[in-house]
Amino acid sequence: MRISACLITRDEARFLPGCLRSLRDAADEIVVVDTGSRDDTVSIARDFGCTVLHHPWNDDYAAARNVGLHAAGGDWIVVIDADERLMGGGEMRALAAEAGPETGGFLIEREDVVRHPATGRTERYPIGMVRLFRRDPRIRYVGRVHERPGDTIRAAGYEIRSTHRLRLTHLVSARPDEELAAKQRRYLALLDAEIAARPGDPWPRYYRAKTVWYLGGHAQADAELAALAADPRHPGPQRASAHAMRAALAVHSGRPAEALAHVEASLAAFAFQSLAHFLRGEALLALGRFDEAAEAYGRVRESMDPRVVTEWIPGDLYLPAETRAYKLGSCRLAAGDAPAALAHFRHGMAANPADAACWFGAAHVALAGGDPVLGGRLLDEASARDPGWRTPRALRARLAAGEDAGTVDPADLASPAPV
Amino acid sequence: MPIDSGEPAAAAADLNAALDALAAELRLTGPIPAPEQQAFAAFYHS
Repeated sequence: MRISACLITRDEARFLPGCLRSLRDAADEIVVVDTGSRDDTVSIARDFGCTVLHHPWNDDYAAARNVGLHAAGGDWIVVIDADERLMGGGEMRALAAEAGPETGGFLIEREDVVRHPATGRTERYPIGMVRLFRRDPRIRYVGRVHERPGDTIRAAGYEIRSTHRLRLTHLVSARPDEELAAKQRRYLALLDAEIAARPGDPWPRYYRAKTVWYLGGHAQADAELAALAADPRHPGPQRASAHAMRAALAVHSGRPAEALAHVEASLAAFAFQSLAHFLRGEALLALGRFDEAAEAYGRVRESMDPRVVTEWIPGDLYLPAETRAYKLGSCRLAAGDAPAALAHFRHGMAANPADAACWFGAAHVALAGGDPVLGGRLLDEASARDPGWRTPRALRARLAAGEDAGTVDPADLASPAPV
Repeated sequence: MPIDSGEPAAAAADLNAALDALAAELRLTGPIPAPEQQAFAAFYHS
Protein backbone atom coordinates (compact mmCIF):
# COMPACT_ATOMS: atom_id res chain seq x y z
CA MET A 1 0.00 0.00 0.00
CA ARG A 2 1.74 3.15 -1.22
CA ILE A 3 0.81 6.64 -0.14
CA SER A 4 1.42 9.79 -2.16
CA ALA A 5 1.32 13.18 -0.47
CA CYS A 6 0.28 16.04 -2.74
CA LEU A 7 0.89 19.73 -2.05
CA ILE A 8 0.48 22.93 -3.98
CA THR A 9 2.83 25.75 -3.03
CA ARG A 10 3.69 29.35 -3.67
CA ASP A 11 6.25 31.16 -1.52
CA GLU A 12 5.89 28.77 1.39
CA ALA A 13 9.56 28.52 2.41
CA ARG A 14 8.69 29.52 5.96
CA PHE A 15 6.10 26.78 6.48
CA LEU A 16 7.16 24.00 4.13
CA PRO A 17 9.96 22.33 6.17
CA GLY A 18 7.65 21.62 9.12
CA CYS A 19 5.00 20.24 6.81
CA LEU A 20 7.42 17.93 5.03
CA ARG A 21 8.87 16.73 8.33
CA SER A 22 5.36 15.74 9.43
CA LEU A 23 5.09 13.57 6.28
CA ARG A 24 8.36 11.75 6.91
CA ASP A 25 7.74 8.00 7.23
CA ALA A 26 4.08 8.58 6.36
CA ALA A 27 4.22 9.03 2.60
CA ASP A 28 6.11 7.00 -0.02
CA GLU A 29 6.36 9.99 -2.33
CA ILE A 30 5.67 13.70 -2.03
CA VAL A 31 4.50 15.59 -5.10
CA VAL A 32 4.83 19.36 -4.87
CA VAL A 33 3.08 21.43 -7.52
CA ASP A 34 4.60 24.90 -7.38
CA THR A 35 2.64 27.75 -8.92
CA GLY A 36 5.38 30.36 -9.10
CA SER A 37 7.41 30.65 -5.91
CA ARG A 38 10.02 33.40 -5.72
CA ASP A 39 11.45 32.23 -2.41
CA ASP A 40 13.26 28.97 -1.54
CA THR A 41 10.17 26.77 -1.66
CA VAL A 42 11.30 24.75 -4.67
CA SER A 43 14.82 24.10 -3.41
CA ILE A 44 13.49 23.10 0.02
CA ALA A 45 11.14 20.61 -1.63
CA ARG A 46 13.89 19.20 -3.87
CA ASP A 47 16.33 18.89 -0.97
CA PHE A 48 13.69 16.91 0.87
CA GLY A 49 13.39 14.48 -2.04
CA CYS A 50 10.02 15.67 -3.31
CA THR A 51 8.95 15.46 -6.93
CA VAL A 52 8.53 19.10 -7.96
CA LEU A 53 6.23 20.08 -10.82
CA HIS A 54 5.64 23.59 -12.11
CA HIS A 55 2.17 24.78 -12.94
CA PRO A 56 1.61 28.41 -13.89
CA TRP A 57 -1.00 29.92 -11.59
CA ASN A 58 -4.27 30.32 -13.49
CA ASP A 59 -6.66 31.41 -10.74
CA ASP A 60 -7.82 27.86 -10.12
CA TYR A 61 -6.77 25.93 -7.00
CA ALA A 62 -8.49 22.73 -8.14
CA ALA A 63 -6.56 22.76 -11.42
CA ALA A 64 -3.27 23.00 -9.52
CA ARG A 65 -4.28 20.24 -7.11
CA ASN A 66 -5.27 17.98 -10.00
CA VAL A 67 -1.83 18.33 -11.61
CA GLY A 68 -0.45 16.69 -8.45
CA LEU A 69 -3.15 14.03 -8.38
CA HIS A 70 -2.45 13.15 -11.99
CA ALA A 71 1.27 12.76 -11.29
CA ALA A 72 0.93 10.78 -8.06
CA GLY A 73 1.74 7.09 -8.20
CA GLY A 74 0.51 5.84 -4.82
CA ASP A 75 -2.56 3.73 -4.13
CA TRP A 76 -3.95 6.46 -1.87
CA ILE A 77 -3.35 10.19 -1.80
CA VAL A 78 -3.12 12.50 1.18
CA VAL A 79 -3.50 16.20 0.45
CA ILE A 80 -1.85 18.73 2.74
CA ASP A 81 -0.93 22.41 2.64
CA ALA A 82 2.42 23.87 3.65
CA ASP A 83 0.90 25.56 6.72
CA GLU A 84 -0.55 22.28 7.94
CA ARG A 85 1.06 19.50 9.96
CA LEU A 86 0.03 15.86 9.77
CA MET A 87 -0.29 13.91 13.00
CA GLY A 88 -0.74 10.15 13.07
CA GLY A 89 0.86 9.79 9.65
CA GLY A 90 2.26 6.41 10.64
CA GLU A 91 -1.30 5.11 10.70
CA MET A 92 -2.03 6.06 7.13
CA ARG A 93 -0.92 2.89 5.34
CA ALA A 94 -2.85 0.67 7.75
CA LEU A 95 -5.92 2.88 7.44
CA ALA A 96 -5.82 2.66 3.65
CA ALA A 97 -5.12 -1.08 3.72
CA GLU A 98 -8.05 -1.75 6.03
CA ALA A 99 -10.51 0.33 4.02
CA GLY A 100 -13.15 -1.73 2.29
CA PRO A 101 -13.61 -1.45 -1.46
CA GLU A 102 -16.65 0.75 -0.90
CA THR A 103 -14.56 3.39 0.87
CA GLY A 104 -13.18 6.02 -1.46
CA GLY A 105 -11.99 8.60 1.03
CA PHE A 106 -11.69 9.66 4.64
CA LEU A 107 -12.93 12.69 6.44
CA ILE A 108 -10.22 13.68 8.91
CA GLU A 109 -10.11 16.36 11.56
CA ARG A 110 -8.22 19.52 10.88
CA GLU A 111 -7.62 21.69 13.87
CA ASP A 112 -7.60 25.34 12.85
CA VAL A 113 -5.41 27.35 15.20
CA VAL A 114 -6.91 30.81 14.90
CA ARG A 115 -6.19 34.15 16.55
CA HIS A 116 -8.89 36.71 17.18
CA PRO A 117 -7.76 40.11 15.89
CA ALA A 118 -9.57 42.07 18.63
CA THR A 119 -8.02 40.23 21.59
CA GLY A 120 -5.02 38.42 20.15
CA ARG A 121 -6.38 35.26 21.70
CA THR A 122 -5.50 31.93 20.10
CA GLU A 123 -8.03 29.14 20.02
CA ARG A 124 -8.30 25.76 18.38
CA TYR A 125 -11.35 24.63 16.45
CA PRO A 126 -11.44 21.20 14.81
CA ILE A 127 -13.45 20.71 11.64
CA GLY A 128 -13.73 17.76 9.26
CA MET A 129 -12.18 17.69 5.77
CA VAL A 130 -11.72 14.99 3.13
CA ARG A 131 -7.95 14.77 2.68
CA LEU A 132 -7.16 11.07 2.22
CA PHE A 133 -8.63 9.25 -0.77
CA ARG A 134 -7.94 6.61 -3.39
CA ARG A 135 -5.86 7.37 -6.44
CA ASP A 136 -8.57 7.05 -9.04
CA PRO A 137 -8.76 9.18 -12.18
CA ARG A 138 -12.41 9.84 -11.41
CA ILE A 139 -11.48 11.51 -8.12
CA ARG A 140 -10.43 15.06 -8.75
CA TYR A 141 -10.70 18.43 -7.04
CA VAL A 142 -13.52 20.78 -7.98
CA GLY A 143 -13.62 24.53 -7.38
CA ARG A 144 -11.36 27.46 -8.27
CA VAL A 145 -11.09 28.14 -4.53
CA HIS A 146 -12.14 26.19 -1.42
CA GLU A 147 -11.58 23.25 -3.71
CA ARG A 148 -12.85 19.86 -2.61
CA PRO A 149 -12.77 16.24 -3.80
CA GLY A 150 -15.83 14.92 -1.94
CA ASP A 151 -18.36 15.29 -4.74
CA THR A 152 -16.27 13.30 -7.22
CA ILE A 153 -15.59 10.56 -4.66
CA ARG A 154 -19.32 10.02 -4.24
CA ALA A 155 -19.95 10.39 -7.96
CA ALA A 156 -17.46 7.57 -8.52
CA GLY A 157 -19.67 5.36 -6.35
CA TYR A 158 -17.58 5.39 -3.18
CA GLU A 159 -18.51 6.17 0.40
CA ILE A 160 -16.64 8.61 2.59
CA ARG A 161 -15.82 7.53 6.13
CA SER A 162 -14.48 9.47 9.06
CA THR A 163 -11.38 8.58 11.03
CA HIS A 164 -9.64 9.83 14.15
CA ARG A 165 -6.40 8.05 13.36
CA LEU A 166 -5.10 11.02 11.38
CA ARG A 167 -5.23 14.71 12.22
CA LEU A 168 -4.09 17.94 10.70
CA THR A 169 -3.11 21.11 12.47
CA HIS A 170 -3.62 24.27 10.42
CA LEU A 171 -1.38 27.13 11.57
CA VAL A 172 -3.68 30.01 10.62
CA SER A 173 -2.50 32.13 13.54
CA ALA A 174 1.11 31.94 12.38
CA ARG A 175 0.29 34.28 9.49
CA PRO A 176 -0.13 38.04 10.03
CA ASP A 177 -3.70 39.38 10.00
CA GLU A 178 -2.92 41.49 6.92
CA GLU A 179 -1.81 38.40 5.01
CA LEU A 180 -5.02 36.58 5.95
CA ALA A 181 -7.16 39.53 4.86
CA ALA A 182 -5.29 39.83 1.55
CA LYS A 183 -5.96 36.14 0.94
CA GLN A 184 -9.69 36.68 1.51
CA ARG A 185 -9.70 39.58 -0.95
CA ARG A 186 -8.11 37.33 -3.57
CA TYR A 187 -10.66 34.63 -2.78
CA LEU A 188 -13.54 37.00 -3.46
CA ALA A 189 -12.60 37.38 -7.13
CA LEU A 190 -12.11 33.62 -7.51
CA LEU A 191 -15.46 32.93 -5.86
CA ASP A 192 -17.21 35.35 -8.20
CA ALA A 193 -15.68 33.52 -11.16
CA GLU A 194 -16.73 30.19 -9.68
CA ILE A 195 -20.32 31.32 -9.11
CA ALA A 196 -20.51 32.57 -12.71
CA ALA A 197 -19.20 29.24 -14.00
CA ARG A 198 -21.29 27.02 -11.69
CA PRO A 199 -24.43 28.99 -10.85
CA GLY A 200 -26.23 26.01 -9.31
CA ASP A 201 -23.39 25.09 -6.93
CA PRO A 202 -24.09 26.17 -3.32
CA TRP A 203 -20.47 25.86 -2.15
CA PRO A 204 -18.99 28.99 -3.73
CA ARG A 205 -22.03 30.99 -2.64
CA TYR A 206 -21.57 29.78 0.94
CA TYR A 207 -17.88 30.61 0.94
CA ARG A 208 -18.47 33.95 -0.73
CA ALA A 209 -20.80 34.97 2.10
CA LYS A 210 -18.15 34.02 4.66
CA THR A 211 -15.52 36.01 2.81
CA VAL A 212 -17.82 39.03 2.61
CA TRP A 213 -18.35 38.71 6.36
CA TYR A 214 -14.59 38.53 6.92
CA LEU A 215 -14.14 41.71 4.91
CA GLY A 216 -16.75 43.51 7.02
CA GLY A 217 -19.88 43.31 4.88
CA HIS A 218 -22.18 41.93 7.56
CA ALA A 219 -25.52 42.90 6.00
CA GLN A 220 -24.50 41.70 2.57
CA ALA A 221 -23.19 38.41 3.99
CA ASP A 222 -26.45 37.85 5.83
CA ALA A 223 -28.48 38.54 2.68
CA GLU A 224 -26.38 36.08 0.67
CA LEU A 225 -26.71 33.42 3.37
CA ALA A 226 -30.48 33.98 3.57
CA ALA A 227 -30.82 33.44 -0.17
CA LEU A 228 -28.73 30.28 0.01
CA ALA A 229 -30.66 28.91 2.98
CA ALA A 230 -33.99 29.49 1.23
CA ASP A 231 -32.99 27.90 -2.09
CA PRO A 232 -34.83 24.56 -2.30
CA ARG A 233 -32.44 23.29 -4.99
CA HIS A 234 -29.70 22.87 -2.43
CA PRO A 235 -29.24 19.82 -0.20
CA GLY A 236 -30.06 19.98 3.51
CA PRO A 237 -26.46 20.16 4.76
CA GLN A 238 -25.68 23.22 2.66
CA ARG A 239 -28.87 24.97 3.70
CA ALA A 240 -28.15 24.02 7.33
CA SER A 241 -24.71 25.56 7.07
CA ALA A 242 -26.15 28.77 5.67
CA HIS A 243 -28.65 29.00 8.53
CA ALA A 244 -25.89 28.28 11.04
CA MET A 245 -23.66 30.99 9.58
CA ARG A 246 -26.58 33.42 9.87
CA ALA A 247 -26.76 32.43 13.55
CA ALA A 248 -23.03 32.99 13.97
CA LEU A 249 -23.29 36.36 12.27
CA ALA A 250 -26.25 37.35 14.47
CA VAL A 251 -24.36 36.44 17.65
CA HIS A 252 -21.29 38.22 16.37
CA SER A 253 -23.38 41.33 15.61
CA GLY A 254 -25.07 41.41 19.04
CA ARG A 255 -28.44 39.94 17.96
CA PRO A 256 -28.53 36.69 19.96
CA ALA A 257 -32.32 36.35 19.98
CA GLU A 258 -32.36 36.34 16.20
CA ALA A 259 -29.58 33.78 16.25
CA LEU A 260 -31.79 31.29 18.08
CA ALA A 261 -34.28 31.25 15.20
CA HIS A 262 -31.47 30.55 12.73
CA VAL A 263 -30.23 27.72 14.95
CA GLU A 264 -33.65 26.05 14.84
CA ALA A 265 -33.82 26.45 11.06
CA SER A 266 -30.37 24.93 10.73
CA LEU A 267 -31.27 21.87 12.78
CA ALA A 268 -34.52 21.47 10.84
CA ALA A 269 -32.55 21.45 7.58
CA PHE A 270 -29.98 18.92 8.80
CA ALA A 271 -29.94 17.55 12.35
CA PHE A 272 -26.69 15.58 12.17
CA GLN A 273 -24.38 18.39 13.24
CA SER A 274 -22.67 20.06 16.19
CA LEU A 275 -22.34 23.59 14.90
CA ALA A 276 -25.93 24.68 15.57
CA HIS A 277 -25.77 23.44 19.16
CA PHE A 278 -22.60 25.44 19.70
CA LEU A 279 -24.21 28.55 18.28
CA ARG A 280 -27.29 28.00 20.42
CA GLY A 281 -24.96 27.97 23.41
CA GLU A 282 -23.33 31.19 22.26
CA ALA A 283 -26.69 32.91 21.79
CA LEU A 284 -28.10 31.74 25.13
CA LEU A 285 -24.93 32.79 26.95
CA ALA A 286 -25.26 36.25 25.43
CA LEU A 287 -28.92 36.33 26.47
CA GLY A 288 -28.08 35.45 30.07
CA ARG A 289 -29.86 32.08 29.90
CA PHE A 290 -26.92 30.30 31.44
CA ASP A 291 -28.39 26.92 32.35
CA GLU A 292 -29.81 26.47 28.86
CA ALA A 293 -26.50 27.62 27.37
CA ALA A 294 -24.65 24.96 29.36
CA GLU A 295 -27.07 22.32 28.10
CA ALA A 296 -26.50 23.43 24.50
CA TYR A 297 -22.70 23.36 24.84
CA GLY A 298 -23.05 19.90 26.34
CA ARG A 299 -24.59 18.70 23.06
CA VAL A 300 -21.59 19.74 20.97
CA ARG A 301 -19.44 16.74 20.16
CA GLU A 302 -15.80 16.82 21.25
CA SER A 303 -14.75 15.42 17.90
CA MET A 304 -16.16 13.97 14.71
CA ASP A 305 -18.77 11.29 15.03
CA PRO A 306 -16.99 7.99 14.33
CA ARG A 307 -19.92 6.56 12.38
CA VAL A 308 -19.87 6.42 8.61
CA VAL A 309 -20.42 9.91 7.33
CA THR A 310 -21.64 10.32 3.81
CA GLU A 311 -22.98 13.82 4.38
CA TRP A 312 -21.87 16.48 6.79
CA ILE A 313 -22.42 20.18 6.95
CA PRO A 314 -19.62 22.43 5.74
CA GLY A 315 -17.89 24.02 8.68
CA ASP A 316 -19.39 21.71 11.30
CA LEU A 317 -17.23 22.08 14.35
CA TYR A 318 -16.38 20.34 17.57
CA LEU A 319 -15.31 21.52 20.98
CA PRO A 320 -12.11 20.12 22.47
CA ALA A 321 -12.53 19.21 26.15
CA GLU A 322 -10.79 22.33 27.43
CA THR A 323 -12.86 24.65 25.22
CA ARG A 324 -16.08 23.02 26.38
CA ALA A 325 -14.88 23.31 30.00
CA TYR A 326 -14.25 27.03 29.50
CA LYS A 327 -17.75 27.51 28.11
CA LEU A 328 -19.38 25.47 30.88
CA GLY A 329 -17.33 27.25 33.56
CA SER A 330 -18.35 30.60 32.12
CA CYS A 331 -22.02 29.59 32.27
CA ARG A 332 -21.78 28.40 35.88
CA LEU A 333 -19.90 31.51 36.99
CA ALA A 334 -22.45 33.80 35.41
CA ALA A 335 -25.25 31.74 36.95
CA GLY A 336 -23.77 32.34 40.40
CA ASP A 337 -22.18 28.95 41.06
CA ALA A 338 -18.50 29.81 41.43
CA PRO A 339 -17.41 26.45 42.91
CA ALA A 340 -18.90 24.58 39.95
CA ALA A 341 -17.27 27.08 37.59
CA LEU A 342 -13.87 26.54 39.19
CA ALA A 343 -14.34 22.77 38.89
CA HIS A 344 -15.00 23.13 35.15
CA PHE A 345 -11.96 25.36 34.66
CA ARG A 346 -9.76 22.92 36.56
CA HIS A 347 -11.08 20.09 34.44
CA GLY A 348 -10.10 22.04 31.32
CA MET A 349 -6.65 22.82 32.73
CA ALA A 350 -6.09 19.10 33.29
CA ALA A 351 -7.53 18.08 29.92
CA ASN A 352 -5.06 20.27 28.05
CA PRO A 353 -2.48 21.94 30.29
CA ALA A 354 -1.06 23.87 27.32
CA ASP A 355 -4.30 25.76 26.64
CA ALA A 356 -4.64 29.22 28.20
CA ALA A 357 -8.39 29.76 28.49
CA CYS A 358 -9.21 27.75 31.61
CA TRP A 359 -6.23 29.24 33.45
CA PHE A 360 -7.72 32.62 32.68
CA GLY A 361 -11.13 31.40 33.87
CA ALA A 362 -9.64 30.17 37.12
CA ALA A 363 -7.88 33.52 37.56
CA HIS A 364 -11.23 35.15 37.12
CA VAL A 365 -12.67 33.08 39.98
CA ALA A 366 -9.66 33.76 42.20
CA LEU A 367 -9.85 37.51 41.64
CA ALA A 368 -13.57 37.65 42.24
CA GLY A 369 -13.07 35.43 45.29
CA GLY A 370 -10.68 37.92 46.85
CA ASP A 371 -7.34 36.22 46.20
CA PRO A 372 -5.36 38.62 43.99
CA VAL A 373 -2.08 36.79 44.61
CA LEU A 374 -3.41 33.53 43.24
CA GLY A 375 -5.32 35.43 40.56
CA GLY A 376 -2.11 37.09 39.43
CA ARG A 377 -0.24 33.82 39.27
CA LEU A 378 -3.01 32.25 37.20
CA LEU A 379 -3.03 35.24 34.86
CA ASP A 380 0.72 34.76 34.39
CA GLU A 381 0.11 31.11 33.60
CA ALA A 382 -2.52 32.07 31.02
CA SER A 383 -0.14 34.58 29.42
CA ALA A 384 2.68 32.05 29.29
CA ARG A 385 0.41 29.71 27.34
CA ASP A 386 -0.94 32.31 24.92
CA PRO A 387 1.58 35.16 24.77
CA GLY A 388 -0.45 37.05 22.17
CA TRP A 389 -3.65 37.21 24.23
CA ARG A 390 -3.83 40.78 25.47
CA THR A 391 -6.59 40.44 28.09
CA PRO A 392 -4.70 38.46 30.77
CA ARG A 393 -1.75 40.80 30.39
CA ALA A 394 -3.92 43.88 30.73
CA LEU A 395 -5.65 42.50 33.82
CA ARG A 396 -2.28 41.54 35.31
CA ALA A 397 -0.99 45.07 34.74
CA ARG A 398 -4.02 46.51 36.49
CA LEU A 399 -3.48 44.17 39.41
CA ALA A 400 0.18 45.13 39.63
CA ALA A 401 -0.73 48.81 39.57
CA GLY A 402 -3.35 48.49 42.31
CA GLU A 403 -2.17 45.68 44.52
CA ASP A 404 -3.33 47.54 47.61
CA ALA A 405 -6.88 47.32 46.37
CA GLY A 406 -7.03 43.76 47.64
CA THR A 407 -9.93 42.51 45.61
CA VAL A 408 -11.12 43.28 42.13
CA ASP A 409 -14.65 44.47 41.59
CA PRO A 410 -16.36 41.64 39.68
CA ALA A 411 -17.98 44.22 37.43
CA ASP A 412 -14.51 45.17 36.23
CA LEU A 413 -13.81 41.64 35.13
CA ALA A 414 -16.29 41.63 32.30
CA SER A 415 -14.51 42.20 29.06
CA PRO A 416 -16.38 43.78 26.21
CA ALA A 417 -17.40 41.24 23.62
CA PRO A 418 -15.16 41.65 20.61
CA VAL A 419 -17.09 42.75 17.55
CA MET B 1 0.47 29.21 19.58
CA PRO B 2 -0.15 27.84 23.05
CA ILE B 3 3.08 26.75 24.63
CA ASP B 4 4.03 24.39 27.36
CA SER B 5 4.59 26.26 30.57
CA GLY B 6 7.64 24.19 31.43
CA GLU B 7 7.12 25.09 35.05
CA PRO B 8 8.83 22.98 37.69
CA ALA B 9 6.68 20.25 39.19
CA ALA B 10 6.95 21.82 42.63
CA ALA B 11 5.48 25.09 41.42
CA ALA B 12 2.66 23.21 39.69
CA ALA B 13 1.88 21.32 42.88
CA ASP B 14 1.92 24.55 44.83
CA LEU B 15 -0.50 26.12 42.39
CA ASN B 16 -2.72 23.08 42.61
CA ALA B 17 -2.76 23.33 46.39
CA ALA B 18 -3.66 27.01 46.14
CA LEU B 19 -6.53 26.13 43.82
CA ASP B 20 -7.69 23.42 46.25
CA ALA B 21 -7.70 26.02 49.01
CA LEU B 22 -9.56 28.48 46.83
CA ALA B 23 -12.18 25.84 46.01
CA ALA B 24 -12.59 24.97 49.70
CA GLU B 25 -12.89 28.54 50.86
CA LEU B 26 -14.82 30.04 48.01
CA ARG B 27 -17.54 32.20 49.52
CA LEU B 28 -18.75 34.01 46.46
CA THR B 29 -22.41 34.84 46.36
CA GLY B 30 -24.23 35.98 43.28
CA PRO B 31 -23.33 35.87 39.63
CA ILE B 32 -19.92 36.92 38.35
CA PRO B 33 -19.64 38.19 34.78
CA ALA B 34 -18.46 35.43 32.49
CA PRO B 35 -14.82 35.77 31.47
CA GLU B 36 -14.04 36.99 28.01
CA GLN B 37 -15.50 34.80 25.31
CA GLN B 38 -13.92 34.24 21.96
CA ALA B 39 -16.29 35.67 19.38
CA PHE B 40 -16.83 32.67 17.15
CA ALA B 41 -15.37 33.66 13.82
CA ALA B 42 -16.79 31.25 11.30
CA PHE B 43 -14.87 32.91 8.53
CA TYR B 44 -11.57 31.66 9.90
CA HIS B 45 -12.50 28.20 8.76
CA SER B 46 -12.42 26.89 5.24
